[in-house]
Amino acid sequence: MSLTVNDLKPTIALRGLTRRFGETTAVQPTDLDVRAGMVTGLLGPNGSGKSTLMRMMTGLVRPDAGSVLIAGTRLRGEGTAVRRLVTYAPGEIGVYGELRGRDHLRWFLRGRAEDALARSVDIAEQLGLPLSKKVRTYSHGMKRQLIFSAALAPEVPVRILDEPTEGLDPSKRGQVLDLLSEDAERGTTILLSSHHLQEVDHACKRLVFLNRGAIVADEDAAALQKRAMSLVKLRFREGLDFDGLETALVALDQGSIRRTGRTFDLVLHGDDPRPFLAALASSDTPAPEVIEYGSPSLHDLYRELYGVEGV
Amino acid sequence: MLRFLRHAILPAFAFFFVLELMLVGAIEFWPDFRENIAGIRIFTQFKVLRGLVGLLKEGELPGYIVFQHFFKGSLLGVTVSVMFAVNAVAGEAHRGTLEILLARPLSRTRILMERYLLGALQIVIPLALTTWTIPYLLMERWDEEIALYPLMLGSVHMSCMYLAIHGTTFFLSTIGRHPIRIAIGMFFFCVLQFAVYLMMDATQYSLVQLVDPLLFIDLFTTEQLNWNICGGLLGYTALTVAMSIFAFRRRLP
Repeated sequence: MSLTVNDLKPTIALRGLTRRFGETTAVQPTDLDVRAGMVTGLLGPNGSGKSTLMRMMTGLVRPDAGSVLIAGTRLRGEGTAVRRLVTYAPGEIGVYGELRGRDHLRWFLRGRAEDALARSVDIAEQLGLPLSKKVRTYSHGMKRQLIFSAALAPEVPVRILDEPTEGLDPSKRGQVLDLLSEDAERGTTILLSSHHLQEVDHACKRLVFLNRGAIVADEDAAALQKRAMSLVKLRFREGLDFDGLETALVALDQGSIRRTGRTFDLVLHGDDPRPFLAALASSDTPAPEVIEYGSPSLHDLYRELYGVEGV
Repeated sequence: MLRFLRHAILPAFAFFFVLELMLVGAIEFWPDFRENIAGIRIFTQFKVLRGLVGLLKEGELPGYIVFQHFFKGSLLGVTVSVMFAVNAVAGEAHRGTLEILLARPLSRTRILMERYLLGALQIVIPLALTTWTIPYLLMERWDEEIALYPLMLGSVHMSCMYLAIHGTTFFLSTIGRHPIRIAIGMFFFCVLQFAVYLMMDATQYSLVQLVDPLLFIDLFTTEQLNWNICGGLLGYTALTVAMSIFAFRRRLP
């Protein structure tokens, strides 16, 4: 497959995007390019600036400085021109409970092409939503799926989804992420946010990590997954000599060690945990109660890989 | 369609229905009132109101209709002017739907103007329609005639006041998040204005003077709208709308 100049142009280009709320800098000057045809995850803990960044991209919050270019259109004023090219699903769910599901989809899609409603109904039915019922009878997860159905239906080059999987059970989460992956394969640029890496990592090809309004890391998802294998967490039972245990683990010389109570976090020299596990098994150290690797929490990832504390 | 019916037609119809009901009641008691006007005047506590009752005697039927439909009816009119505006934006913020409202590819000015115009029409049309029925009701019930044109001018004058109240509430709704607080604040302000109006020495400082029944009775003699007052009220309303647009375009979801 040959690349054209357009393929190389980012669909979303942010330059120096900044937002302050009073004394607090919600988003520090941020540059970010997102290319077409992939799902990009924006990860960070609560209050890291994900939602503000997404709201600025869609014109819902005015930036204090910087520029936003989406599918060749510059964000100006209140951003109506950009919102015609973007669908946005907010993180905070607010719906009109008195409307039936189908009517609510129609309301969401006001200002979009006529055929978007039929597609959104189709998506909602795939997700098993009872569209003839009033939205006030929906659960939190169903309301989230209703908003998602509306955000996925219009044919637009970019979708910006703030925590689309929050509150969904694992099977629904998988269904939503599969739909997003299929959409991205058709060439749509998808930027989604989450504060749980494991919720979105299998759909995202690229992961951008935010903390305190700044991008702290921007990684290819596959490379990150491989690196995540270098994080091993061991938890031992109560009553052991943890100082002695720490000395024994350091003596194995397999990586750096950090102890918190009866838990040891290890960042291994390589990304294969097997040599460490073999060394651990053949040593005299007591067997750990729990061994975790390959699925670090955002907290672990930030602390161990990016050196960011207090997440 | 259902949402439009529920949010646009039903409130306006409810306003029309209650206003018309009050009007029918007032017309039904017109002969009793005429016979007892002297007694009513004696029992009226406030000097300002006593003066108004005296005015009714002079103004006869037009005075009575003005008093009942425009002055007494303003209690309902002020209420709906506040209620039809207070939820426009603050209601959305309060229930958490402001973000999805703004996320659609529609300009904020358009969203706001649709809501403003809907509220304004919900006030103006029922008032005009009920006013229009007055000559018919009087003729049918008591075989009495009243000129429609000055009544409709009165309806326009009163609408200007309602639009000013509606515009003020609308602006507060655009910048606020708590519709109930805004509504209570507006009602308190209106009650305060009426209280000042009833105080003989301070009545000239009350905004209720802008819809004093005397002004409406003048309409029957001059058949001319008081453009100084109506123009001022409309100008003020336009200012509130402009300020609402300005604030809404900068509003955070």
